[in-house]
Amino acid sequence: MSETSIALAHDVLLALCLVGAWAVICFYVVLTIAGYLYSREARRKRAPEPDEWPGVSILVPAHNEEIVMAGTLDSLLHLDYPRERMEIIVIDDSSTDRTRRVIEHMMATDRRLKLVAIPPGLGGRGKSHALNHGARYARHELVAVYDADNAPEPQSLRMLVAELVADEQLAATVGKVRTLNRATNLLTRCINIEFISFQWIIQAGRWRLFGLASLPGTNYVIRREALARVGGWDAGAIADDAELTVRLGQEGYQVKFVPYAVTWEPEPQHWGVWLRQRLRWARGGTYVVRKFLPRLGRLRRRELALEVLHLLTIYHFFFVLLVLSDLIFISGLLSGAASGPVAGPLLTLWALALAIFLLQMAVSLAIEGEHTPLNLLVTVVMYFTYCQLWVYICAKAHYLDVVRQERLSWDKTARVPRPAQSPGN
Amino acid sequence: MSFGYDPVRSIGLFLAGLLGAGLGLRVFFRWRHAAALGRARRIVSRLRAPATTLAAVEDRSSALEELVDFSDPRAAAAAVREALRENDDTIRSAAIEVLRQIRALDVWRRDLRKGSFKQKLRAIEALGDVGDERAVAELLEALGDDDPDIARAASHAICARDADYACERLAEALASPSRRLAETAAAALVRMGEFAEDYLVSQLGSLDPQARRLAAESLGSIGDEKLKDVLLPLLTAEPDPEVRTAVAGALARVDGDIAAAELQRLAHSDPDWFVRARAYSLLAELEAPGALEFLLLGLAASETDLGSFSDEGDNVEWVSDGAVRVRRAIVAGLRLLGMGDEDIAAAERRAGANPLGPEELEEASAATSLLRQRDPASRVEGARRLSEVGAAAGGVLATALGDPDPLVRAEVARSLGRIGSGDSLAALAKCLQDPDASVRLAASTALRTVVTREATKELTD
Repeated sequence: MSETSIALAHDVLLALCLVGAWAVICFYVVLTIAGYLYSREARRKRAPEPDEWPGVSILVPAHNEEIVMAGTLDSLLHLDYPRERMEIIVIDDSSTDRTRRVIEHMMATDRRLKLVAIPPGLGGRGKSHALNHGARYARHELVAVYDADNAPEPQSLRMLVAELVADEQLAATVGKVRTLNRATNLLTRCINIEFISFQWIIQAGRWRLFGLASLPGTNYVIRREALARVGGWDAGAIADDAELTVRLGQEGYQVKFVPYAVTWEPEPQHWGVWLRQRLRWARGGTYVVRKFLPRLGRLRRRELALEVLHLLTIYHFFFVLLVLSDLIFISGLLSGAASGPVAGPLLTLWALALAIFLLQMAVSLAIEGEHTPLNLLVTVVMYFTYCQLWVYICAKAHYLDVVRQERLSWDKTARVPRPAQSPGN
Repeated sequence: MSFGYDPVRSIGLFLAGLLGAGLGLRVFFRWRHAAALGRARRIVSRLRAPATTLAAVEDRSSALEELVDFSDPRAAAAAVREALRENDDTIRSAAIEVLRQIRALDVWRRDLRKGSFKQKLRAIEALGDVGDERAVAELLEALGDDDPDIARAASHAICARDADYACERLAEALASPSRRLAETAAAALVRMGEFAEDYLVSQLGSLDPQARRLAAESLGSIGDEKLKDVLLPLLTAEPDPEVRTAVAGALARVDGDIAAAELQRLAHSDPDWFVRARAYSLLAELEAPGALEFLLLGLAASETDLGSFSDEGDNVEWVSDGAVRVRRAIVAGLRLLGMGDEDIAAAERRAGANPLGPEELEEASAATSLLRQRDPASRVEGARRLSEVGAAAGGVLATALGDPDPLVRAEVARSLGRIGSGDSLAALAKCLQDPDASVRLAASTALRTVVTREATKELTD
């Protein structure tokens, strides 16, 4: 093959990468604007409180949660919701530590607390499995899900329920998740910024434009009737939230993002723990893509395709783009055809993409009131460090799925004790 | 072709000029406000002067008018707020009237409802200084604010001035439909301490069970021993089980000794399972004398249903309400009292195999009371009578092996031998190391009996 044709091939591929990347970047810019607009609307237009609050069964799956259980149950017991219309079912999924003791100690102080205990040997099969067990004993028409390390704000449940009751088309309402230990180290600061931007850009932006939001795994309320209709949680899915979102959509239901219903949770403080968590999410996301991509054309709500495509983009498309562009650069260096007929301000385009990324992060931080100089500096550092680890995560996920064909199994994130600071500080 | 000027420098100079102008304006307005504040303060100082002569009264009136017509209402409001801290009611009333006329109160009310976090805090502080009926009404609403820091600040501000009026309104707020508002009000009343007692006691008679429950909990947090006379009758008279539980908890904090006896009665005879469960927990938390034995007896008398299993046969344990919750509360209480898992398991096995009926429970309770007497002869009699109750009393007897008197220890060992349950083997084996020979002899005899019985049981099974 002649040098000219190699150079041409380089440039065509590079152009395709650039066009693809910029299409996604522009789409996210639109989402950012929509997210900002929704942040203002959501504050002004809150659903009215119902005359009679419906009953809510709160499910809390727990596996070896002795460090965080008491604090979580305390937060749930202090939710501002009519006592007689609420029950809290803790699903002890074969814990081998003192989780059960902590639960029983708290059960002695409040009658709303109940326990489903899966004996050792029969449990440990993942969160979906535990939730399905718990849901069987729920006696109210609404089911809320909170992770065992969460600290929901007192008014969050009321907000979620009020929005759900106000619109019969909704199957579920989801709140926002914030990082409790965001000031601990660089990793937690990066996670904090990532969560804020994901929720204000993806969740809020998609809801505003397409009436689409995805379940986040915690801090959501779902109608029990809708849950029963779709057959509960998929025990084979690690990303139970994303998978359930699509199945709900298949039945014609919507999921609404309620940004001012907030829960706080501590995030991984060590890189190893974080990498394992994200690997699980990547593999879970790939499971959802594989399950629903073949049926994309047959999805009852076309907007659901966005959810599947979003997972496809972040776990596959971006990864492929990055790897392709790196390959092009390396092969260009080797063949001496680094500059071909496609001329252009490549460095300027890259700088512009970086500037747009920083601007998007700044906007979402500003919506949350966290646009401090430190956070803005961390965002810059994040682009060159935290975000680049995504290549490793996606590569490893693909390797495990495609090459090793390793079975998906539940890998629990190691818990972090709650910091002494209160959530708002 | 060149233009002869540098556009970058021009733009830079223009931006610098804008910045400078902005800073200059800011400094100017700040100076202006500081000057106005100084003038307003001088006028306010005339308000503070004693109005003992006609001239002084007229001067005060004209000072009020000057403040109302002042050119900078913000400065006037800030200066007048300082006068609110005076103890003289006349000066305070005059200051509040000025604030009303310059619409400062309206601004603070608006800020409290719709302002930013900082604006809300400033408004709370200001309304707290005002402290009259209108201000307290606004602050009460802020107790239910979405932001807990705002709610907390409001609760502090309410109590800053007229404590009587504040307590009255806070006590009424215990019945608020917003649970969070009610709980914040309760926390504020607890901070007022004994001053708020009468208001809380009046809420014990409220028609709203939430108000009664929060009042009881708050009285418990205050912890005044005198309150026991108010709380005791409610244990039987209160119809709502959640309120009864709160009253029991309050009594435990107020007077542990009286509470222990009442808690035992509740644990045996209250019609509501949660009250019974909570009574056992409270006994354990109080570490009341005899609590361990009482809980063991309760375990022996509790129903043995361990919860339902799902129809699909997947063996999950469902702990929801009723007898199973009482049992779990007793087990949690035994752990709290320091009992090990193996001993608890043994006690559960004994209870499961030989549950106590009501008459046996009464006899066991009476015998256990004897075990707690000072006189060793009574304790010996108690140990003997417990052996007649049977295996269910084994747990109580095992705890009595630590009695300081060797005669009692020996009788306990003999009683365990008479009962003959294999669960007492470990406890009896420890007695073989007892310093007293009679105890060692009684323990070895008891061990032989128990081992023989267990062996016979194995052979016949």
